[in-house]
Amino acid sequence: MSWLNAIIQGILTGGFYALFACGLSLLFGVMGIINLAHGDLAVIAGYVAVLLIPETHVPVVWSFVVVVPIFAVGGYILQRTLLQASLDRDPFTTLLVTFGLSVVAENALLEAFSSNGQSLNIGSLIAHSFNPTTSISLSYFSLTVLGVAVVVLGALQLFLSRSGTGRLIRAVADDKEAAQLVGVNYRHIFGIAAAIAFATVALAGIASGMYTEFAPTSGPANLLFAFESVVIGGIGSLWGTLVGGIVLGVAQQIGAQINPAYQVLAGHIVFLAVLAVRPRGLFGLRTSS
Amino acid sequence: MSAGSVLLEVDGLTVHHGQLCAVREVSLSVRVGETYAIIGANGAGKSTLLRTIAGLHRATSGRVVLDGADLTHARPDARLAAGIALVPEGRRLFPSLTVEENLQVGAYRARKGPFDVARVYELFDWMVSRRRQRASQLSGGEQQAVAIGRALVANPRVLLLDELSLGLAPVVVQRIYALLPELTASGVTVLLVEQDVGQATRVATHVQCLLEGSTTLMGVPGDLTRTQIEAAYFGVSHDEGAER
Repeated sequence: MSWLNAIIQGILTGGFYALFACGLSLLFGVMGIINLAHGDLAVIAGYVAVLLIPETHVPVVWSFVVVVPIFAVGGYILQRTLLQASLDRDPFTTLLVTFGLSVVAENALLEAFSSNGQSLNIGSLIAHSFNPTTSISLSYFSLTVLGVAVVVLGALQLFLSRSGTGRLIRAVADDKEAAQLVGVNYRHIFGIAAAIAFATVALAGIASGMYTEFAPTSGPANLLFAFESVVIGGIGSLWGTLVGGIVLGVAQQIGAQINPAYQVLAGHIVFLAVLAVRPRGLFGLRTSS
Repeated sequence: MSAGSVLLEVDGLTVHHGQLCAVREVSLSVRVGETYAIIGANGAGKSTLLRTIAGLHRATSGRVVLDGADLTHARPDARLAAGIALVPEGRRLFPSLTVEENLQVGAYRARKGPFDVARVYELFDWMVSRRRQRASQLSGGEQQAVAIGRALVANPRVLLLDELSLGLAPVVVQRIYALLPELTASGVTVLLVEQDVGQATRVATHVQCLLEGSTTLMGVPGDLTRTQIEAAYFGVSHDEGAER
């Protein structure tokens, strides 16, 4: 029964990973940006919540209502300034700039908040769970996060495939020069995509801050799991990202079931195996032609 | 604006690709209702000229003026809004978007005018049944038609066509060129670039020949002899050729 529990816990963890990963996938899919500061953005979101919540009198559970819009606006601004300026040079510069952002963010947070862990305390809400049997425990919080991940990915998919702005995002992702020729200011579209990506990573950072601790140095681990989810699922496929997150989560929980020391290792092994067998990922259908 | 007045004016345009001077002091004026053809061999600077008019390249010097408004420093999207649409070389459709989505994106900043998605479906009736297909699944000729449709729905005042015939079967090229009179009748002025001199002189009201970035000949097709065109196209006068 504990194996079944491991799989269930893995699926729930997969929701977190998918939420972390969808912004990473979007930035890469639309602009070709590999955002090495992605994990740190999630951590910053946590600290922004820690700072702002006492001021705004918003219950901690609802802190995302405050932080997510801030991140969306911040994402748009950062894209239109620093990231666009680096994209105008070349992809390698962009990689270096996001790496630099990651280093700066980590050290600024260390300077401001020390290396002590923080968390967003939502009290007893975190502890409630549903126990169908004695050995299986479904945390309501994790179920909610998985639900949020599914809703966010579904809404994003719908937005991209049905709305006019979504159509422009796909057009710009296909060929930004041709998009300019039909009158699209691709820089603005890039900004919108970055706003969405930042909003989702803020949501992920806050969810993670409620569930567990975060510290200034938590960013790279977030980034790694998000990156593995995207690659396992297949770049450019949003549902693939969800599946990728779940596959990674299940692999880690099963690894932990074998031996607690193998948790992270098992995830890496599955990631490498997918990379070796299906380099495009499980759902990476888009060819580069 | 009455027929016959100057719509697009290019004045002493020079464009560099790094060190290379691709277009040298080229001037042209396209009048309302004209079909103006730029001819020239590979590498003569024809495509660079069109892409600079559309705003994709920065001009080193010179001006691009549309109906009195100086657009030399405008971004491509602003030029589209002003009425310059380019059908680029190689079609450049959005491959992952459907035919209909390509046309809808084309209408994103459309000016008022006779063309919309429905009108394009009238021009190319086969598109209706294939509108849900991805653009990447179409043949080259079909893609060219969608690319023209995508530019038309913006209701441009000047339509720039870059090497329509490239990589297409002659019969397909004929069919696409047969469309031009209809476009002109709808009030669209056409500036096209073509390697195929025969094709260009058949459809154009005005021809200008480029060689290594400079204008070597301009005039009305009926007034130009084959010899004149050949000399301008290849850069050898007939006398010189005979001496060798």
